[in-house]
Amino acid sequence: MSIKGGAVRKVRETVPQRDGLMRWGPLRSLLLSRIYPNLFQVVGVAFLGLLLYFAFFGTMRAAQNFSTSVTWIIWWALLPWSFLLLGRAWCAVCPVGTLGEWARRIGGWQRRLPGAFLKRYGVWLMAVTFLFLTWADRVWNVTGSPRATGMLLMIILAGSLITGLVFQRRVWCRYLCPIGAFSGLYSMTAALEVRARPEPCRDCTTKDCYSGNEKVEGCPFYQFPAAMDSNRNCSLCANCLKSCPSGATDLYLRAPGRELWSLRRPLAGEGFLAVVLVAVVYLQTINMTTAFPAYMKWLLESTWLASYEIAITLTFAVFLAVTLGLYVLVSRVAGRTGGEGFGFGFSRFAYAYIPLALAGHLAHNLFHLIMEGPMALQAALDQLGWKTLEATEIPMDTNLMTVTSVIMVLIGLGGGMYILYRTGEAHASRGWRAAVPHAIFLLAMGALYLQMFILPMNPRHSH
Amino acid sequence: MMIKLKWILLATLTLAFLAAACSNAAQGQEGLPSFAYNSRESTEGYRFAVANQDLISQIPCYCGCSNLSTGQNHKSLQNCYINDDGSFTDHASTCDICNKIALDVKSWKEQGSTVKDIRERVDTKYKDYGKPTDTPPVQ
Repeated sequence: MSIKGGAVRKVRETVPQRDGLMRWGPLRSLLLSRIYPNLFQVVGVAFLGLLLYFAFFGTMRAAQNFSTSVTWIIWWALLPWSFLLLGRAWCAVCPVGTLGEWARRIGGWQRRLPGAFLKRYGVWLMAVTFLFLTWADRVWNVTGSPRATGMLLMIILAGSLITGLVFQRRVWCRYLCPIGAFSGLYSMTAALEVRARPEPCRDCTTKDCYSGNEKVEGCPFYQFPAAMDSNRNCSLCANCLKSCPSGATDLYLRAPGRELWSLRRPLAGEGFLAVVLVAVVYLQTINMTTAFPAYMKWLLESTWLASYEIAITLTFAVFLAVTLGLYVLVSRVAGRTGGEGFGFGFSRFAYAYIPLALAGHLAHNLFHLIMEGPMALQAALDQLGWKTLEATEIPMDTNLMTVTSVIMVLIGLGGGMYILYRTGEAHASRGWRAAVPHAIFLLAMGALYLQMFILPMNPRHSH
Repeated sequence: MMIKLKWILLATLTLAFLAAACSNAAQGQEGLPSFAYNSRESTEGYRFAVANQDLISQIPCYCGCSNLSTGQNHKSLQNCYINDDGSFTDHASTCDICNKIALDVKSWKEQGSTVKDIRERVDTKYKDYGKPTDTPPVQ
């Protein structure tokens, strides 16, 4: 990929020239204290213990089980909102990552990263594991089974513990966690960022933010705040805020998604993942509409396919292949019209697809949260012994839900179009015209999303 | 990486083409309603239910359908799939428990268990789920 000199000069300066949020006393006290993130981590680990206990020893009824209700109806629905509002702050308090970190501190081998392999292919590995989990859920109904949910949590926990025992810092979270696959991308849309003022960093000789000191560990995600231009590998753990001797690092508010067009170094793996996300969110949502069973009926009754597993696998594979194939084609055209080559067309514009995927993800989960959330919460509290008033499904105003979903998708689509424009203007020698092929493809995907959200949806758990 | 991706795309599209080319091979073979295909479990459940109506009419369901708010209370697992008048109901299309029981029954039948054994195994496994349907004991 080549970025011409003139284009590079157009890139907006990413170092913030504004007041940080650390000026606000209570926030400063919280982030610089030992409470954050330690207290949240302890609470999270205790909560994970409850999830695992009820997954294996609680009722088999998914709709009444603490683990399936909390994990898939409440946590899973709130998670993308947290990425939009707080970046990867979830990763700082995630109990799975925390336990890996504790394992490393207690008896870790502290080996360095295995060469360049993970650095180069980590994002591809995350994309593949994320795709596998999406497929596995549909075929094995993980979200509908407390035991399968428990097994999934155990597998992810084992991965975190093993990498924690072997490697330095949070290798699992940075390079391997399947949730990290989309948390990194979604967090790029966040309204919060940790960045460093360049002047003090220029003369800094200790680089405590990266290496750590006797009081605070270095960045668990191997980031150097003075060089950061993206949230994708920042968990807002506050280590750099605590360790910087000159207080150069700070927390800033920003326009959501600004880094999606100002990014210095776009990655092909992330581009691939962004397009995969658009396709997966579509597949996961269309799966839950009433149109999907009709499609499966056609597929199973009108073709030689008799196995549901093969039919769904083929559907996933074909849709992903067609989406990626079209994306590759569009990238070629964009690379040519922009005069920057295929790599530019593929990687640079891919970030503009993230708002659409996120909007679709939020709209999908909003349905589950509003429709099933109260009952899921009641089921969770009941299992903990806190009897609550009878909660019932909120009588759904389906029209309101549809309108809300459509508005969210339109916002995502509009955001994506704006990012395409800004990306072209900032990085392509021919300006916004280079983004036109992607704009057409993004509009087509947006139209698919809109059509999908008009269809009635089935609940995740029932009875 | 891009060259490998091309081959993966090509192989997948070829498979899709083959699927389309072989279409109509089994058209109308099953005749299940669309909602039966909501998930892998529901598809298998409806397929099994249609083919084994006598068996599942002797098996209780523990999903809570013995006390439905619609007033159409189920008498056995059969009613979760097929109404008394022979028409299909969409109840089991979104009910994990109905399908779990149906697939257990299927598995135990394939292992050679008798109807009585299957009934006992269902009652033992699902007794903690709640009130079963009022299904007469197996003679």
